[in-house]
Amino acid sequence: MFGLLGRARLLLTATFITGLVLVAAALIVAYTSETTRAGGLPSTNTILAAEVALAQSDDECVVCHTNHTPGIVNQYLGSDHYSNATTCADCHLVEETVGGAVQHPESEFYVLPRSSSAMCETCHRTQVEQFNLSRHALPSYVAYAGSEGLSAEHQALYASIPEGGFNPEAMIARNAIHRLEGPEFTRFSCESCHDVGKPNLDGSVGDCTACHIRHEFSLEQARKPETCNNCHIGPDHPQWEIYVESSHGIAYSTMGDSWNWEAEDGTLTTADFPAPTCATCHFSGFGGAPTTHDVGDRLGWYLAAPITTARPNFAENRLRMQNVCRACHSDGFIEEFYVSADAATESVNTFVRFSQAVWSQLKDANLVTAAPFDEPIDYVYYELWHHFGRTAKSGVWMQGADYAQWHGIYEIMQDCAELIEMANAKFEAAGLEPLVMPEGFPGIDAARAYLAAQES
Amino acid sequence: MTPQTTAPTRIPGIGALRLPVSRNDLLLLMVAMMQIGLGVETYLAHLISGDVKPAEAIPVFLGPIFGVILLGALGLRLSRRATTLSSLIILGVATASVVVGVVGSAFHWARVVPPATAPGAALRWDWLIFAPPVLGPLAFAGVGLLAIIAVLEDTQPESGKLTLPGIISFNTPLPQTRQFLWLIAFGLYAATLSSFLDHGRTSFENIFVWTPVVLGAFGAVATTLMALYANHKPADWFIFFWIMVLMIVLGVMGLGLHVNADLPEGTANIVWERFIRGAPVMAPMLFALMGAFGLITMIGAETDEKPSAAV
Repeated sequence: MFGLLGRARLLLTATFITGLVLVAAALIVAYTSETTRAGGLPSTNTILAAEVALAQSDDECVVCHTNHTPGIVNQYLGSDHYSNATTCADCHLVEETVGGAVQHPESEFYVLPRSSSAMCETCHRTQVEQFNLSRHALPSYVAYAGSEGLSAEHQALYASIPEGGFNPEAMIARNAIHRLEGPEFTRFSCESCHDVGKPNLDGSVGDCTACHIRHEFSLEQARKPETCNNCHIGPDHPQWEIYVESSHGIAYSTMGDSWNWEAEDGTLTTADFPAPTCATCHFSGFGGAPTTHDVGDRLGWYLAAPITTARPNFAENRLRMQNVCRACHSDGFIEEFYVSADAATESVNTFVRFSQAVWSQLKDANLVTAAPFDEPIDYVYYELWHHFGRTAKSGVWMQGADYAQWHGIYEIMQDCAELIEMANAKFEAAGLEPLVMPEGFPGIDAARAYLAAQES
Repeated sequence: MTPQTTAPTRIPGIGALRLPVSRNDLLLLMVAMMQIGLGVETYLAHLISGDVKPAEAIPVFLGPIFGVILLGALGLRLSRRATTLSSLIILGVATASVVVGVVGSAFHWARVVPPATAPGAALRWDWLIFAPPVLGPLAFAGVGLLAIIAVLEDTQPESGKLTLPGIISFNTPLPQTRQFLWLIAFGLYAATLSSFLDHGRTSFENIFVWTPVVLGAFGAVATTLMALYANHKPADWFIFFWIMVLMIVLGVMGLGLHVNADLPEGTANIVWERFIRGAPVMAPMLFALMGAFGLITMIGAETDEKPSAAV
């Protein structure tokens, strides 16, 4: 008996001590957790953490700006940037020769008052590279400003964007609406959103803080759909409204409080996000899709265009999006949805082609002026695709029935009817024969028949 | 110099094996391979922040460089040429590895101890769990120390007298085998603590992630006891052998489970990003490596009883 115990002394002693150690550790953890709950420093109290951090900080910028701009200092002290030892100087301090650098008041050093994407790129290289090759970058800016002011480097960068639709001749001119409204106003309208891709004075492109609001740079903030709501809202691209109406949005509104908003990048699963937000579908590493900062990386169609066409990487892009869908939906569901949504998209294309055919006849007869937006029919023709066409298509793809129907396809048909009435008034005033619409106008079959007749 | 072993080498409590190299040379070979692996692992770990910064690149480059130099020096050592030179190279590289590990750990520690620490605001669990792993860089220090001990010749087994061939002989308070056992015990404690902290990120929602914590603690305590015992019976080594096998199984199982966790969609759709930011694939292998070190340490170890073929 004792001989056996003696031979097994290692096993017995190790088992006994391990048991003791684990029980003791469990008691210590339980005790400290209880102590924390009873009055220790709450782990989620970032405000208190920021106050403590402030009291301890010896960073010259932090100390001084606590008096001048305490709001941003508090935000910064609660950020991952702070806890990862990224200083104010890392993002703002530059050489005098850097474009956009200004001398700091009462100092000899130079700073970028608003840090550029080049500064972010120092640490977040992949993210900035992906952004630079996306439609959030230069294409977004050129959409209102035109390409005339772009440097040769920026032109080359634009040309390298696979989905940028680089067309040097077509994109030179400043957007007509932007020009008509004037800079006093557009600074608060077009530019607020489209400057997300504006070239910076230091040569870099874009504003990361448009989506990652400074100075907290919170994962939760970037992942929540309200962030995208900053721009993707309103009559021309009501993605926020559509999302809120959709099942995905309802899940977010009703259950989002319990989702894992701070989950590690690139590892998100349905356990973290039982339903998607904008970021989940378009950016996050989720399901079988890796993280991207190219907003078009998972999109097959150019939905924003008057006539929707396939993006250059159509098949790969939609496969990446479907890899996100697969986290929750069956292959059969996804296939059926994509086939149906493709058909609905083509329906909108048919209506827009119809309007273009009518517009072409008006131009051929010199019944519309060359000047943009100088008569009511310009607005009807424009809104048909720019507002209602986009809304209908987004409503379809994002599953917002009311926006697909009443704010989308219904408005398109109304605009078609209005367009024909206005066009025929012009034809009759010019002594020309009015356009005769096929039976069932302004329905989809009539639009198809009209286009077929035009082609024949 | 360590001769190539041609006669069977006794594995106490287990039997005998014919090995082409000595225990210490095997350990040095393991250390060299591990240095290369540490470079790769450090690269992957630092990719989590998106980019490998200059200071972070130091261990990324030094790991493989150390490994290659150690392999070269080991080649010299095995061929019995330039013995003193090979010993000095191994000693120098191993010392540098210890420095890299300690400095790296200090860097990580500086990020764990929040500048926010104020009276009453102690170190918090969540900071300790989510900050850069403090113990991670100490892997460099651990294998460096192992190499420093392994390069020394145990000229009088169980006496604590060690010799750096051609240079110096000196007495140490512990026999070389027990020195190895202490290092392996510390390695297992580190692996267990890392396992506890890393799995803490998942809030231990899956009860099975306690497995490496419990078994790792058991392996560490058992190895500590072996390091404490002044004399070892064949039965001790027999039990130790199977505990080390258990550590290897634990590590390989962890590797498989972590790979599985990083493939939520199965193998049809592999997202490499998950292998960087998700469950760390190589981390559980620290248990397996310690188990392998433990088994190698047994080679030719002394017992206080007449050896038998097996217990």
